[in-house]
Amino acid sequence: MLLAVRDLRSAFFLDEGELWAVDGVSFDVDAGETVGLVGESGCGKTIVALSLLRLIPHPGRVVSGRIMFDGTDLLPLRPEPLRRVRGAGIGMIFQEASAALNPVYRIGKQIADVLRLHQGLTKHAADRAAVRVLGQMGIPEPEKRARSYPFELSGGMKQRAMIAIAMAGQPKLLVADEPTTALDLTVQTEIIDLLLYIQQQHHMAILIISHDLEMVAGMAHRMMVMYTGRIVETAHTRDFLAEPVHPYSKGLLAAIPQLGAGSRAPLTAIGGAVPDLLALPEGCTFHPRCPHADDECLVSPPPMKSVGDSRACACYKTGMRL
Amino acid sequence: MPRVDAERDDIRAKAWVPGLGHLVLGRVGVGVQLIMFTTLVLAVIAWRWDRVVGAFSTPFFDRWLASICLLLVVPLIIRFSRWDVNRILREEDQRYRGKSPWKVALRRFGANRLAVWSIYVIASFYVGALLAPILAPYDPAAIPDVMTNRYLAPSSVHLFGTDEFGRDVFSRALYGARVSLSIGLLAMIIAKSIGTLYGAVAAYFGGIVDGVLMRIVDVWIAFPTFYLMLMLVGVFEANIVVLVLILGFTAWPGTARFIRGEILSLKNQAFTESARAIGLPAHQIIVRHLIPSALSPVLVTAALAVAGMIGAEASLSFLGLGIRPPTPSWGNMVAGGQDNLLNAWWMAFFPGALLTLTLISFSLLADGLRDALDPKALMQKYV
Amino acid sequence: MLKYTLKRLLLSVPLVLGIVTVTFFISHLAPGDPMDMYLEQPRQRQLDPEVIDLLRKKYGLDQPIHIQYVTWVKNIAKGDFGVSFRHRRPVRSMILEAIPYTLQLTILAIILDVLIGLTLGIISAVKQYSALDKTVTVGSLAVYAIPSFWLALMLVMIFSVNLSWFPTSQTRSMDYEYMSALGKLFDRLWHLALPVFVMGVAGAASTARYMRNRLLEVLNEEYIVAARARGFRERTVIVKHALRNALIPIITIYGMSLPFLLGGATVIETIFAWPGMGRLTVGAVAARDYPLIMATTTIAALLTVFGNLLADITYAAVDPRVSYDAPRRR
Repeated sequence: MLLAVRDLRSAFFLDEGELWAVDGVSFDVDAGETVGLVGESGCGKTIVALSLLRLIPHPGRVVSGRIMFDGTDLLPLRPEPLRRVRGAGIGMIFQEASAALNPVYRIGKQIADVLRLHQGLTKHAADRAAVRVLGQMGIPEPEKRARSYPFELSGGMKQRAMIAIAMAGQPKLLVADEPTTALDLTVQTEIIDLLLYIQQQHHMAILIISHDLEMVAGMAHRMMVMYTGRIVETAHTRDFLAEPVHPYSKGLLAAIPQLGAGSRAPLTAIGGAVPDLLALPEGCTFHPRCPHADDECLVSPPPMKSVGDSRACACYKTGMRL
Repeated sequence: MPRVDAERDDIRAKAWVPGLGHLVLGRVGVGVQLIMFTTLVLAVIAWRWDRVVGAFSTPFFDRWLASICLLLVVPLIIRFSRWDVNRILREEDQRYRGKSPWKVALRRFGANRLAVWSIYVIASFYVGALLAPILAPYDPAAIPDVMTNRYLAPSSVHLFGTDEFGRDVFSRALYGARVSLSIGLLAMIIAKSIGTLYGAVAAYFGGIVDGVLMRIVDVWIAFPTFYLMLMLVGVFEANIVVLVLILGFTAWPGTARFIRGEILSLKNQAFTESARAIGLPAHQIIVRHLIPSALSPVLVTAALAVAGMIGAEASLSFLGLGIRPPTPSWGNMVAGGQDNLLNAWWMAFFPGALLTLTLISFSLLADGLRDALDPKALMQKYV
Repeated sequence: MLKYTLKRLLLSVPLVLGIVTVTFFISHLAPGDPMDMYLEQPRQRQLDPEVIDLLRKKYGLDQPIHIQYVTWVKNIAKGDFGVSFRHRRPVRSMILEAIPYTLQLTILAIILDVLIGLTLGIISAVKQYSALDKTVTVGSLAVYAIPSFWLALMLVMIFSVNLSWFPTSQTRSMDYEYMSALGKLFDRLWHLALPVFVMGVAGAASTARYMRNRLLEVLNEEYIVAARARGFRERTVIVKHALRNALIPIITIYGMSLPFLLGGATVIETIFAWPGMGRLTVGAVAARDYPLIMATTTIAALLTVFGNLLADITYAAVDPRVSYDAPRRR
């Protein structure tokens, strides 16, 4: 087991109250495996990613849980050893490459800085290695691009550059938070192919986080569905696609053309909206939008229950045929 | 817990005494403040009863105004107390906790202690200025027996001491507050009005008009504001009215630029397009959307502008180029104390301290407004 | 970069022309003509009408206004600002004598401002929510709000009048001529201390606030989170990734602060009897010395334009995005 997260809870402490963005999340990622985390925006996906490396900005922080990475718990770790995990153990790429790249430094320098930090290269060697890494990311004319500033590159190019920076640390796990959302469709495919390619080359695990169920399903071995800070269903991708168990997963899947059960079925959107994390409904937080909810669902949040071969679901109604 | 009707009526009856209704409702903070304020007003009326009444037998407009305002406060405060108690009862009834942006802003502002205190300071200074004829212990212009009364150190008789002519510094400072505070406020209003109009005209007509108008703004902004003021006071003989106009006329370009930018960005937004598509005229849309989107920055800069104007007037008067003695202004009072630093420090100290307190309060107010009206959108980015 | 510089230079030409025009027309807005002001000067009252006409001719005031304007622009282009009504000296040489004194004050004040302001702003942002941060936030606001003339008087009262640590005014001591070189330098600095402090401390307060807010803004940027995620030391993240981005706009702020410094110098120079541009202007305004008022105002505006130009060009040199695109401001 490369990464084992247990009962992770992260909150923001605001004037208006405590906002639990991640509320009791547990999952595993094996070496070399691709795991997907999907959910609507505002469900806490990004906070899970930031929690892994303890990067949540003030006034938020990880409150409790365990994050076992390569045999060490990251939560009690002191800054210095934690720093060595960041970048070298777990790499991260973000949604907006233009926001995640430092605007005032050349691309090559940003890669070389990471190479010097984690590989201990000299300045000269790092500069040359940076060009090589850029080339591996499929960037044409890497020498020229290394001397470019981020604002001089196209969106897809920036995304590749950001992946290059993350790969310069040679991480064992890459956390990709909405890596394609900001891109054109054709570029999206290119970036996903690139991620899959470098995963093979480096035998690296990927935790892919997105609201785009279709994209994640195309990449991940296993899927996790998240809703209001909790994981509500985990399953192998093929099982999940064949028959999602949680009503929310069903809803998500039914909202996608082609992939849903039977291409004749009409597209349906989930009724209602994601609730305000500061004013969550009692009991199962999905009950106001759930077609099967009854009094049982109002009492307390349902726990995760095993519902078959390595799949689990947090719903009181899963025993029945819905 | 729901209240029975008898209980409500009882609370409403108690609200006739300002603050009592709030105390019963558990709103101790507001209640105590209302009681203290009312007591203060009544105490002033009782203490200066002869002056309050006596004002009506004088021909001076400012004395009439001061007395009328002071007397009007009593019914107004009772009215407010009853209205607020009714509001609280109504909200209890509906179990409705308002979350409108205004209420959120108000709550955030109320939580900022410094900002609330700055409001108190500013309000009490303006009230003091308004009520100067009633509150001032001495006539600010009267020169009694100069030889025995001059350069008296601060004491219970002369709170801020006396100056080289034996005039009471506290009374003069009260009257000086009228000049300084009203000039600041009026000049700010003039500057904001000119700026808004100018920016709106530039944005509305666009093209060459906009180009020319904005180049003029560029030139105007290139001048150090204080130099421009100095030049204008050099050209025009400065009295209070002229000074207000000069201050207002030098400080408008920032507002003009801002309003123009706001309008132009509104012009290009999607809802303007769609509103125009259903046949609403552009200027109507712009005005309707401009007010909410520009209100917060305008309020904040207005508070800062008042401080800037008060400071500029004080500096000009200090240099002897603004309000001239014997009319007291905080600036020229400090200047009067400049030559007496050694033997009568209070002459320069107190007016300057009041001025400083005013300016700090306006800055804190602006800061509080900014924080309350514009909460950081940190959460939107990550959750 | 060179192209950008040239472009900015060219753009400031109409601005300069505008400034010269505005000063001219403001001074002609006055009721009566400048000659009336000339006659108001002391020792001028009993002049013969014929002499007055001659004087009018001499100063070109008999010409129609547009001719006067053209003459004024031409003269300024030649660096000729006319003759002071009161001092009967060419305005140009008076200003040339005064400018170094004002520059001494402003430059030292800016240095003080940078040293104190940036340091406090950075510490306060990095230690956000600490007691120090709160002190700096509220303290800087208070210090910025204190009117400089009052602060100056209070400091003079405490440190010059009561404690006699610093001189109350003037640029040098009476026995300056008899001092050694080192003594002269020390004497100069000793006289500069209070005025520079008063001028610099207000700037430092506003710089500290600006720097703090700006750095906090940058620290919230995604590239800072990204830099942390890559495993850089917190020091590196702040110094290399945040500070550089936060400092760039500060350059513009300093360019824009010049008009405030010049404006503030008028009061400070008057209080400390410092023979700079500010005191010259205040004296000219008090005496309604038209040529001098027009000249100092024009010069102050030109210095401001120059300061902004310098800031813009520096900005373009530090931030690769500026000279690439069109200039970001305006």
